[in-house]
Amino acid sequence: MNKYLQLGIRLIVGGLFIYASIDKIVNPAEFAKQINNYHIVPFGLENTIALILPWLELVTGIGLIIGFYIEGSTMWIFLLLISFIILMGQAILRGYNIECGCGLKEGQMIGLGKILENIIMLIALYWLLIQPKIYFIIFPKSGLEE
Amino acid sequence: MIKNVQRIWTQGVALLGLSIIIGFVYNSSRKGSVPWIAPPVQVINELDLILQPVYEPSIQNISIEIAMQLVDKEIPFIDARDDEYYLEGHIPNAHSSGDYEMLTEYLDITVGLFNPFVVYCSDDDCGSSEELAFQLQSEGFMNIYVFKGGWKEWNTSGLPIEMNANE
Repeated sequence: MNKYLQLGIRLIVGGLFIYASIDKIVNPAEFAKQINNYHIVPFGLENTIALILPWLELVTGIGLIIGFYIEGSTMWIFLLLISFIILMGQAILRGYNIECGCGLKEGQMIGLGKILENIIMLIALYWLLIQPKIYFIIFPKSGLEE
Repeated sequence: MIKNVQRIWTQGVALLGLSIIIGFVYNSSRKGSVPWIAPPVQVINELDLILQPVYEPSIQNISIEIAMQLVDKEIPFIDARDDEYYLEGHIPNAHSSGDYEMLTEYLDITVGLFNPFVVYCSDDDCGSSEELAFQLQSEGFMNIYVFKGGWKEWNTSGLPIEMNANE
């Protein structure tokens, strides 16, 4: 039961990250504008983030699903989810009514619903992180199934 | 799985490195690649261009010379500073941003979504004019100019000021 729950979480969260990355990879300039709307990134670094972050989402999403570097992938997705929550939270508190730039649905705005979605994924990943044994992994085999 | 911190750290760095490399190669090889550092907001110096309606979201900076001409042309100015500073003195006919709902209503009525208006704050170090500009852009206002020198540059240049309350 535990191993299928683990796999289910990995498929859903990893799948969402892969799906969310595609549009951002295809349209980095548009994604940079959406990052800029949060008004938190200095020195024009929104472009740098827009060129790297989608690939990190894709690579870690694939890693989480197929079990490649699963610990690193899980940690990155965990950290990204926390960052997204903070970013959206500060924008809501500052009264911005902006597109979230999540990459899942065009025109989706920031809001408490989006934050809740991220918190649910965060809880699921935390549960995955504290598991003593992880199933269905490709590489590295040794040590992962302690 | 959280037990081996060093392994998580190593994998994390490897995944980030891989993402940076792929991102670099992909961006370099694609048509219309994006600069790694975004260029700063453009300064516009052509009055005729500013006075035309714009139908795509645009935020651009203007110099004090252009700001003076726009005041003469009665283009609306929005003061993004706190009300207490606004009441102490502001650019002639500038509107305070204190009540955000009233401000958007005012802009809706007097400017519309496509015509120009200017936002300023205390000086070129303050970020509230840009912040307000982006906030107003997200409400649908397309044609926004930021006077970066702000109140400080205006006032120290000995230009006319107004010291009455809003409106």
